[in-house]
Formats: sequence, structure tokens, C-alpha cells
Amino acid sequence: MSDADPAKKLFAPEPAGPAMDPARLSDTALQQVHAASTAEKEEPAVGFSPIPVGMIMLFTALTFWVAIYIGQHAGGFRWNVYDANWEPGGEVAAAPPDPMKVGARIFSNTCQQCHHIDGMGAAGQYPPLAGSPWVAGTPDRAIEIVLEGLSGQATILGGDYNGQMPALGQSLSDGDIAAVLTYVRGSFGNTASAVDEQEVTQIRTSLGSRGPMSPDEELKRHPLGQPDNTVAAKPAAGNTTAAGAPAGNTTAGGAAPAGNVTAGNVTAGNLPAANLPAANLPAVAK
Amino acid sequence: MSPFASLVASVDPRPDTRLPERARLSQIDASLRWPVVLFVVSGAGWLMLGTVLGLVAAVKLVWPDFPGIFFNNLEVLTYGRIVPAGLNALVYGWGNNAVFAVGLWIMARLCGTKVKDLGMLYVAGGVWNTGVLWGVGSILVGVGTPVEWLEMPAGVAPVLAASYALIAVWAILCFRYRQEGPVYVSQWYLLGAFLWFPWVYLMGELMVAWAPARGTVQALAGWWYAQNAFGLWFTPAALAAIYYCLPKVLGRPIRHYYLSALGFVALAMFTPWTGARHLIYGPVPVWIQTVSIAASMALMLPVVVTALNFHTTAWAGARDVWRSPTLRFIVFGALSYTVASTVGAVTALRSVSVTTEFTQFMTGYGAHGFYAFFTMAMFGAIYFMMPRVLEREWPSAILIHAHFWATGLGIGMVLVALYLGGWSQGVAMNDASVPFLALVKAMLPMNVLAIVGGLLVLLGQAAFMLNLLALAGVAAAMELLSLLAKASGVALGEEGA
Amino acid sequence: MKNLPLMFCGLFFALATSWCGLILSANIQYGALQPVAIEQGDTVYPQPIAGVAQQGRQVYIDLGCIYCHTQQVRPAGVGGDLARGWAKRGTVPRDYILQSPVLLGSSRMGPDLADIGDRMDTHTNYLHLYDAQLVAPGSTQPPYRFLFTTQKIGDTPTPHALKFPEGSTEAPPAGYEVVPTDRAIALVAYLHSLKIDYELPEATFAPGVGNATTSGNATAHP
Repeated sequence: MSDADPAKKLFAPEPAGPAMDPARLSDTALQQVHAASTAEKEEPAVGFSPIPVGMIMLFTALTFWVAIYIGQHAGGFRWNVYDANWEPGGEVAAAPPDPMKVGARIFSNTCQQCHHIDGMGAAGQYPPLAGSPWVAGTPDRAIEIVLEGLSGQATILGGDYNGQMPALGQSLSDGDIAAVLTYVRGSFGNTASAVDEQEVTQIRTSLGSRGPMSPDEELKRHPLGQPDNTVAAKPAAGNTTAAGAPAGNTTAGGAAPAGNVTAGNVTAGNLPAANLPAANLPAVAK
Repeated sequence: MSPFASLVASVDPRPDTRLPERARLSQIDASLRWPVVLFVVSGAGWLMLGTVLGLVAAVKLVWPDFPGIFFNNLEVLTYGRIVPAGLNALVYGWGNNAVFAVGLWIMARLCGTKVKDLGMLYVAGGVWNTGVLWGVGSILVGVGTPVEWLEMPAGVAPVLAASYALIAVWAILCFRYRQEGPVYVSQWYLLGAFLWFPWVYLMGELMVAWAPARGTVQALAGWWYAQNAFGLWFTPAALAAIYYCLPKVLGRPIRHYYLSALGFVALAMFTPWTGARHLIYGPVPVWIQTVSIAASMALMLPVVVTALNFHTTAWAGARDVWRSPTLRFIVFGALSYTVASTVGAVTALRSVSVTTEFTQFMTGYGAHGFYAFFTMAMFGAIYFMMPRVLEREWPSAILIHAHFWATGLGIGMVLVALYLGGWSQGVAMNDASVPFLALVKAMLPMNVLAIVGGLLVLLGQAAFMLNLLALAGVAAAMELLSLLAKASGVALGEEGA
Repeated sequence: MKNLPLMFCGLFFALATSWCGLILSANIQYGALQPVAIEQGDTVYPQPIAGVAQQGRQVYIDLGCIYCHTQQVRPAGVGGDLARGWAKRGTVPRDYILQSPVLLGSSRMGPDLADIGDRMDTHTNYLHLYDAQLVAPGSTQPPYRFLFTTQKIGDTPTPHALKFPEGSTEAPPAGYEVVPTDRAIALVAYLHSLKIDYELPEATFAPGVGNATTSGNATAHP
């Protein structure tokens, strides 16, 4: 189309004028001159050109800086570290959950419908938990009842009951059961010891799936009124300051028993309550 | 020949190598003539629109009721719509059109290949501008996407991508069929730019609009795109223009040129990792922020390389730089690149970012990179390119001087205002005893300064627009006349003039 | 470097490594976060927002609020975010998993809004949207009068009609009231839903902050 007259184009002068810049270097010359400058070796001379040395120093300095910076501030490349000055070995997560709180929640979701919010139950229908000897003493009895249920006639705190408690072993985990029993044993005026998740696991394994027992059978296995032979190893449930451990101190001290808690090594329900920050006991009417 | 072979042959951009170089260059320039005019004129139009919108937004920061109570019931003029509309008009309307024009031209010249006039470039350019119009209009009407730099609705992206492909394919073809001989650094930068943009754009649209990522991964993808759109598309294009125009006008080679390969590779390797520098202390894991901060500092390496290349060369020819219309803009851009990149690296550090992020300072940093560096470099390249493509001089030297001084001073004022104002905004924001309203009121003087600077920039661009329309208009008129003359000559059976 | 295929591979590689290293690995690492409860049996957070608030979110998006307001709070010890009472803790990725698109914002011409639901008063907010000068003179917030309609007062005034300050020039003529449209109601509902009032395992409330009052501000102005 516009290749009409190559001869004309050949000699057309470059536009010129005060608004114009002449091109003092043609395009092929541009490429060749620069290629030549890259290819040619520096003439040997006394001293050395500072630029390559400077670039090497800059490159090295930047590499070191980048490596050190990433090393110090990458938070272990973890997804849940949002603090640029985090160091490995430091705690990442928040405070461990308090079994009294967890238990209170499970109680209100699961147990409260029958045993009532204050643990008083309903006369003739659901037995009370407040001050009940079934709840106190050895935790094994309570664990078995929660795991397998209870069915039949029983006299509890002077009232007659002839109903059925459902087995909750399938819907509650070992930790949940330990937490809710810790809560119940430390609330409504009860002052029994906390329950460990391991105890629940042991009993669950040994029971297998027996189905609900009758109250009499249960009482044969674990008679009422006997002292809790595990109490020496654990403090009272819900008693968070009695052991004299300073608030917020997660390593055992003072009268706190076995079961030291080290940072980052806690599972729900596996805590002696004294080592926890003060539990917010729900406002339960006695 | 088979149809496919003949299609390939018709696309073959190599000119007749028997012609002397001047003739070949003329053919190359002529082959790109009207597409370049289309891109530059439409780009300049978008530049004016984007600048006007930006100015309106700046005035609204000082006078929220602007332009007055009657117009204020117009939803389309609300601040939150004007800002993204202006940004997109500048980035996709001006920025991309400028790179299409300058990038294709420099690539074609350096590769010694013509761009075959298949009409494709006109169609693609028209579709691109239509797409941008649709996108900017959608933003003003309120159907945009709330991700910065990707505000155009998702439906626009395929249109833009398709028209982009038709334009960028020429850059690749030129490189593929380039003449024998050494390759110059501008060709690498342009090849990189034309290949990187579609990849980052499509990936950004995918992870933000078409198949959105979950939670803040979306924000991460969005900023990865925005940082790459600037650092791997606009930056290489402007660097290519500076590397091309500076030695050509000065008549002397780039000093320390052997470092330029290192600069290119370092830019390519480090830039894409810097996206999360916009999310420092944000809701992303700390390692992502740290990696981006480290990459931003590492970017100082290519910045030092380009500084050595550009500034030593310009200094050696300082008198010529001062006298040359093109080189004033080019060197302004080159200096701005060094300074803006240093600002970018320093503000990436956490201790500085605490003060600067979320403030006008970062707006200034964006303006520094996009306007003071990219846009000024493009102005310089356009002043160099247009006369060669149209074979006629710029009509007015005075308008070029006016353009340079007005935009140079104007953008300088804008930057001072945004940097100083943004810094004190950040300091005050981190001091909880300063009520927020007091902080806002304290920004007033600097915001006014930014408006004055913006007005100067607008004036300078008006001078550019006038000059451009005069030049292109006369050239187009002459072309039309000669076409008419040929047509009437043929109709009358006489030889064409 | 003259070989086009080789250059193509190199350019692609430079981009691909960063995409994989930054975006893909981030997505793998925390792209599948789910709402979580800080303690067993507790409510899981974050919670999805209700229908009207979702509509309000759309209004927030289409008015471009992100260009002046962020919704990301920097953690304790960084800047003045927590000291200003903008939230009780820094925001983390899990706070945003139910949001699409995420509205982090990057500019604070106005205060951060991540926890605005805990700070704001609805009626003041309506006035603020109508014309920010009514409750915060000197503010650069744009007036959104188009989100309200002026109508003749019916038998009884509409409950949530705006109550202008005494002698305000913005007040409608006698017998008329300014009432928020559905969009304004939805927007304010959305703002009300913006709360960071829950803890997460990886982000607990910072001790001792969040009680600071932003001294000097107009009452109930966020």
C-alpha cells in the first residue's frame, strides 16, 4: 500500500525542527554497538573498574539480608502465625480450654433437659445430681452410668425413681464425658474430684457395649459411700485456686498433684483443675 | 502453496533485505502508521479522562459536596465510583494503549520487521477501547468488582484478553522473525512485557472474579496481579522505551551496558514475589508478608543496574538531554524510576510500613510509579516516535515545552503533597490520642496542594493533546486527500499523482 | 538471549515459581480454613451474615466504600489500631473465609470498619450517611443523600426517619421527613453485622486494649 515508491522513501530526510529530536544512532548500529560493548574485554589497566566489584558487593549484601530477614520473620512458615517476631518454641495457640466451661456447656446441651439447670432433677422422674452420693465418691460409677445408661428402680436421696437414663457413650467422646463429670462433681454443692479422660477411656474399653445396667447391678459394682480412692492423686473439681498455684501459671507448683501441664501440651479434660485460670462457674442455684 | 502456508507467508513480517536500512525502517514505520495513531490518540483521550476523574476525586477530598448540591444526588459522581473509574481509565485506557503503540513500534524497529497491515490491529484496538469503555462505564454505574486494579466486571475480561491477543501477537511475531544480528535489551523487556501481561491478567481474573479463591487468598491473588501488572508490564515497557530512546538521541551507547542482562533477569525473578507487600500486617500469615518484603528489597538490584545504565549515560550527555524534547521526558522518567523504586523498597520494611500503609503516602507511591515514571517515559517515546511514523514534525515546539514543564512541576507537587501529607497522616493515625477528625482536617493543606498539582498536570496534558491532534489530524487529512486523489485519478483513467 | 522458545520458558518460569510459591502454597496452607470454636462445644466463628446484611454488603461494594475504609485491623503492638478501639484483636485470615469478595481495602481516609458493628449507633449512622457534616464536621465522607427519600409525613412519622439537629440547613421543610431507602437500611444492617467480637484459637483478644475511647470524637461517631 504505502510501498509505492521505495526510491522516494530511501532518501526522505528525517523530520527535523525545533520540536524534533534527530536520531543520531540507527537501529542496527544501536544493536551492534551494544553487542560489541558487551563482548569486548576490558583493556588491561592499572587498578580495576569499581562497578563490577560494587555490583558483586551489592548482590552479596542483598542476598545475606534477604536470607536473614526471611529466617527471622517467617514465623516458621506456619499458617497460623501472624506475629512477625514469633519464635519457634513460643506458644502459638491461646489458653487451653477449661473443662469446667466445656462441661458446663455439655451439661446445658445434654443433661439439663432432665436433671434440670440446678441439678435438682424432677421429683419422681429424674434424680437429682446436687449432693447425690451417686455422683460423689469413685468416679467409675458415674462414668459407667453416663457411658451405658441406667434402667430400673432406684432410691436416690429419699426419692423413688423408676426410669431410664439413655446411654451417652456413643454421642459423647471420652473428653466430653470427663469434662461434664468434672463439672457435675464440682457444681451444685458437690465437691468431688475431677475426672480424667483416661479413666473414661479405660472404663469404656473394659465395659465394651454392655447396654444399660440396672441401678442394683451398678450399686453392686460400686457401692455408695465409699471414699474415692483416686482423690489423693487429684484435687477437687472446680477448685481452681485452692492448690495455691498462682493464677495463669501453667506449670505445677505448691500442692498441685501429678499431672504437670507444660505449654502446648493440653487436651480437654486432661487437666488438674488447679492449674487452670480461674474457671467461670456458671451461676447455678444451689 | 497450501492455504495455511500462504496464510503464514502473508503474515511474514520480514521486509525486503535488499533495501538499504533507511528504506526498510521507513517501511516498518509506515506499516505501523495508522495503528500507532489509533493507539496513541485513544490512549491520550483516556489519559485526559482519567486525569479529570482523578482531579474530581482530589477535589472531593477537600470539598465532599463537589460539584454542588444539585449534582450530589447523582450516584455516578460519588467518590467511591470516581476513584476506580479514573484508575481503570488510566491503567487500561492510557497505559495499555501507550504500550501497544510504543512497544510494538520499538519491537518492530529493533527486530527489523514490518507489521503486516491486515486490518486486525484496527479491529483489536477498537475492541480494546470499547471494552475499556464498557468497563469504566460499569464501574461508574456500580457493577464493578471491589478488587483494586480489577474493578471492571468479570465479563469484560475475555473481551480485553481477546483483543490484547490480537495486538500482542505482533510483538511475538516480530521477535520470531527478527533480522540476523544481536538482540538489544529493549527487545527482551518488551517480549517479557507482552508475554507476562496476559498471564497475570488471566490469573488475576480467575482467582478473583471467575473462580474466586477463599478468604484472604483472594486478596493475595489480587495484589499479586496488581503488583505484576505494574512491575512486569508497565515497568518493562517503559524501561524498554528509555533504553531505546536514550542512546538513539544522544548518539552514544548506554554505559555499563553489560549489566543490563542482570537487571532484566533480576527484575523477572524478584518482581512477582512482591505482591503481598500491600498486605503487611494484614490478614495473611507472616511468612507471606516476609517473603514479599524480602523480594521488594531484592528489587533494589535491578534498580541499581538501571540507575547505572541510565543516569551515567544521561549525565555524560547532559546538555543534549536538556535541549531535547524527548530526552527531558525520558530522563525524568528514568530518575523517577530510581526514586520510586527506592521508596517502594523502603516502605516495604515493616518499621516504615507501620506509618505509611493505608495513607496517602501509598497513593503517592502509585502515582510516582505510574505517572512520574511510566507516563513520562511514554510521553518521551511518543514525542520521538510520532514524527517518524507520520513523517512530519510536531507542529509546535512551545506546546512540548509547556507540556514538560506543566506536567513535570505538577506531578512534583502532587508527589510532595501525597508523600508529606501521607506521612503525617500515618503518624497521626498511629497515635491514638489524636481524634480521627483532627487527623482528617490536618490533611487539608496537602490535599489542596495535590489539587493544584493535578491542575498543572491536566494543563500540560492538554498541551500534549492539542499538539497530538494537530499532528495526527493533519497527517490523516493529507492521507485522506491522497487517497481521494488516487481514487479520482483511477476513476478518470489518469495516473495517480 | 536470542532463542524465543528458551526465553518463553524462562519468562514463564519466573512467573510460575512466584505463583506457586506465593499463591498456590498459601491456598494449600490456609485456603480451606473452616469456622471453628475456641472451646469445645462453643459456637463456631466466623458466622455467616443474615440476608439483609448480605444485601447491604452489595451496597457497600457498589458505592466503593473500600476506597476510604479498610476492614483489616493490625495486631497488638502495631500502629494505633487497637489503641483506637477499632477492634479487640488483630484480624486473621479465618475472619474472612465466609466473605466473597473480600473487602480488605487499602486506604484509610476514614476509620477501619472491621468491628464497626460494636461501635456504632444506628440513627447516628443514618445521619452520617445522609451528610457526614451533620455528625462529624470536617469529615471527608461523601454525602449519600441519594440513599434517602424525602416524603410527606403521613399520619404518623415513620419510625426511622432522620432526626436532624436543631436549626440544621439539611432538615426537610415542615411536614416532610427524610426516610432511609431499602438500600440505606440494608447498608446499615451490613455495618451492624461487622463485628470482631469473638476469639479464635489463633487470635485471642489482646490484654488490656479495646477499652480505649476515641477521645474528642463526637458522641457515637465511630
